[in-house]
Amino acid sequence: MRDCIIRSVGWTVPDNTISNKELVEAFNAYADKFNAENAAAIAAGTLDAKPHSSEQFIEQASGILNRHVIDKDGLLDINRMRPRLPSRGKDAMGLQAEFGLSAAKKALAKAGRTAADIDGVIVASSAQQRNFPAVAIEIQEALGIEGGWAFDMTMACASAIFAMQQSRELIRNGQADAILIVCPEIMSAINDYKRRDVHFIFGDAAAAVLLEAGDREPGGWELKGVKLQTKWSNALRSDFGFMNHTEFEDGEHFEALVDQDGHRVFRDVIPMASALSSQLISELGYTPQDIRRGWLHQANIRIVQAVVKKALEREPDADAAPIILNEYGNTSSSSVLMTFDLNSDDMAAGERGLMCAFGAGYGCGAAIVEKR
Amino acid sequence: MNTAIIRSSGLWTPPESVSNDELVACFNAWVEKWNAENADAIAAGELEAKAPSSSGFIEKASGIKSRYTIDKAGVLDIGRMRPEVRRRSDDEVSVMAEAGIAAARQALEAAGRDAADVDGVICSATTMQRTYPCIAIEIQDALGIDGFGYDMSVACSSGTFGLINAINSIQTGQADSILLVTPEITTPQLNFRDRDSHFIFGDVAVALLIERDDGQADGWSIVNARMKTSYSNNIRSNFGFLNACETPEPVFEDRYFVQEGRKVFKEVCPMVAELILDQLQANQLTAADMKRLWLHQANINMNMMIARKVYDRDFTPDEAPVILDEFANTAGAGSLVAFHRHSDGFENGEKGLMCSFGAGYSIGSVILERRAA
Repeated sequence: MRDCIIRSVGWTVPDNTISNKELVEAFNAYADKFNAENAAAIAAGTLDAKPHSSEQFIEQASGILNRHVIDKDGLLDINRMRPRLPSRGKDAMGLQAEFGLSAAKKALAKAGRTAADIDGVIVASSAQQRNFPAVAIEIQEALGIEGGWAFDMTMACASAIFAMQQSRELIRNGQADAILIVCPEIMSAINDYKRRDVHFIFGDAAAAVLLEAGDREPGGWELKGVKLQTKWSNALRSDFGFMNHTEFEDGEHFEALVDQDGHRVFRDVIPMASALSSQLISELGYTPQDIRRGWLHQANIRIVQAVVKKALEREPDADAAPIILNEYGNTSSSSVLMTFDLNSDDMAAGERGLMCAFGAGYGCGAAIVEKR
Repeated sequence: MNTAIIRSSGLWTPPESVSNDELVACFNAWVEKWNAENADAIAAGELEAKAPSSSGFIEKASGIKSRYTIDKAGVLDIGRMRPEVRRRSDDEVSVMAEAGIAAARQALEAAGRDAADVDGVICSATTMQRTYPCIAIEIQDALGIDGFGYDMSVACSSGTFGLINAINSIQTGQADSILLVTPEITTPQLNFRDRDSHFIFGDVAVALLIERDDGQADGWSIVNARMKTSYSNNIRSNFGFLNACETPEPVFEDRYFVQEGRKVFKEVCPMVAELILDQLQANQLTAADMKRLWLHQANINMNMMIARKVYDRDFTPDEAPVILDEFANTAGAGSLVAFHRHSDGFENGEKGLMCSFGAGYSIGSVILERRAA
């Protein structure tokens, strides 16, 4: 069976940024308003007052300083606290496809490839904008890929690695020569900006990775192996879905946004991700010393460092465990690709790295790549 | 390269079914009420009167006679006209996973396998009940499977595309056994107040167990699999996580399933027939080698047209079995349900073809060969 390689990665973030300071000011103003409006219930003990957030709390809890978002004003409007995105007609390109397309085009340009080189498109992300047609097919069409196939898949923050595994099988199996994986993550529409423990977590970003058969030309990164694991947990949940309107009466307000038990996630995910990474490293016949770097899903600086420390058996310094979440926040499935792209140019042929993503599910994916 | 085999299948249906007559009686009562309430505006020409539906129209347009639903009372309540589902807590199994688990258990039982034999679960369906965790992982957990799972969607081709992903995982040695589960809970996605679409869909869950060929007989080996997609807006459902952020926020009716039925018919039928014939030729086969076609069950007229083109002659009901009279369109599950219900009578070595088509557009086509026990 032939090799499968990563030929290129492209990504994009919106121009709008929100600092912790701006986010906290809006949140605290919202909390004050909420507490004033509900003063009687709070005094009677039937409702909890909303506590203030703080820059220090956010930085200490997560390492995040900033995030990029598609719409800043709606998020910081204390009467809305969610993005304001103009509705588009069905003949206009969907927002998620458009976002993914810009990343996909960058990946293709970097690799010097055109639509004619691509056999399939997989959109792998936390959620798709609509039920159908698949967002992947819209991107396929916009790129001008004729005669190919496309589908959507979801595996929360680990979506990119899960799609890389599917693509690797298709390419090694001869079903495809080149597959474009696109991870357009509009997390600002999923996050709950009215909750102190989650309002700072996410940022918007789209990333794309082009996988190819290794025999086409030198260069790129060989995908030596991928390992996937999932294990059910309610600790990270988002109940938004097509059945909500069967569960509630007309007019009943239901906001099914992200919900998490951060402490439990922290406790459960670190051993799961590090053990899976260690297993993959040893199954491929390597030792941790054979792996120079870990590009990890950027959920939280402490999780990133703890997993790298365990899996690679060394101090998680900037070389071993690069961090980008300070600037971008958690960008879900796109983050592992962005971290790789921003921190791989200095590596020499033959050097190896670990990609590892984990999140809701729980789902965890690990991949070992080697520079060619 | 390993060979992949469909070892077994399983099917879950809700206990309740709605006949065309029942559906039409509710719809027409609602139409009458709506027209009466809007009589002045209709008389003034500001609103168009709603037209009643009829069982004859539905059966002629689609071949559908009944459909299963997770909640008949809610669908037939003219003050509601959508299923009513009790909201479940996080610690209870979800509706979609529960349907999938029942079908998956049946597939495992039919093959005499248990959880320890399975490496992964793919949940492939038109849409998932929630953003996360994945429905596949919930099914995996309930069955006690140690391994991996993920969700994927490509509308009516979800079942075949999921099958093709499972086949690839097995052929490349990534897994020895995968459960493909396609739970299609479609009735919550349907506008039961729209005459053009209120009869189209039904609820069902189907599962296939796909294994690495270890020489053991009984099952269906995979001869060849193909996927094709080509973008179209003619079948669309805009419901999604951005709706609440959109300005103006879309009204609910704009989020339901809508289609341009005539355009779909005209564009999809030739595309499907052409792909099948090309696939057969590429595998040195002809339509005469296909004992049966398990086609996606959207509309009987589409299936007749496609089967006629593929066989290039009149064909028997046995060669292109229809299940949509009982099930209606079950989205990504349709061709798999047709296979589950009508896979008898094959001798060792005889071949058939499973093919889905629908929104996207998407087409998934798999040639199967019977491996008799």
